[in-house]
Amino acid sequence: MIDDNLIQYFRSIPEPRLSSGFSAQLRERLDTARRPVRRSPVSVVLRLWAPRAYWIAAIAIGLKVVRPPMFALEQMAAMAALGVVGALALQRALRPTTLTRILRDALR
Amino acid sequence: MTDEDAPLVKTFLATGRVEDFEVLVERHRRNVFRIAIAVIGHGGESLAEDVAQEVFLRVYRRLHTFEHRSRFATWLYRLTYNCALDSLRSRRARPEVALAFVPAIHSGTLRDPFRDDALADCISQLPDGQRTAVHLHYWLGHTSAEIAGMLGVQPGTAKLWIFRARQLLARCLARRGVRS
Repeated sequence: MIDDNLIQYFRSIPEPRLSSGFSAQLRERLDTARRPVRRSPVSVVLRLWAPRAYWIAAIAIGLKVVRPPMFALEQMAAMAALGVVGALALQRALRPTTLTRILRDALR
Repeated sequence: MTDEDAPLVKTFLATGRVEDFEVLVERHRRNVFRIAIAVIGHGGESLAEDVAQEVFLRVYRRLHTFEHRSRFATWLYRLTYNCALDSLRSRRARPEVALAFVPAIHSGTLRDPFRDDALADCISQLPDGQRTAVHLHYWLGHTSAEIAGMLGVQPGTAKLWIFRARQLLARCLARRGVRS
């Protein structure tokens, strides 16, 4: 009988048990999950300015390569500055809202 | 339908205190681990423990998404079942970290190792629901009603899974020339 086979087979396998450190390890992970991630000021500045510097350099290089002859250097500088301000404004406008953060957390 | 966890869930959502959450963990950790190990099977104790930890972490972060449409335990156990299945599938997809085959302990009884290995292999080939139900019933000693509560299905479904699993196992053993 298959029923007897199963009973005898599983009788020969020890019953699984949670390890004694389960609760302590989970407690540690819960504490970490609760604690906000602390970043050093240098890292915060780097995280903020690295992408900005990348785009500023990219725009500057692009402008240097395809610079139209009718613009003077001052005009180019003014346009670049305007571009930076525009990019910053765009970045601020596209910052994730509370709803975006909740949806992102839910998907995580 | 009363949910004995509802007051605790509400308290935790209001206070956010880990201590409140830990009461829920204490109450359900045994069943969460048992569901995970029933899905993964013998030899996957360490993975099942990881799954249990991951489930509680997810619940801790996402309890606000629980809509009280079912009992908290039903929601938790369903999450556990799905997480364990995901872990098992990703483990199977990576043969280099596949679960080590742990043979049954034959000492003390007159067991046939060939039959036991064939049975273990046949069990691993059962559909997920049936394999989990077989493990919960025969290995961990749960009744059909308890299995239904743990897996969020009707008691009749749990009974049917065990019945169908027995039929499939008998056929599988017969194909291998093992008398059941």
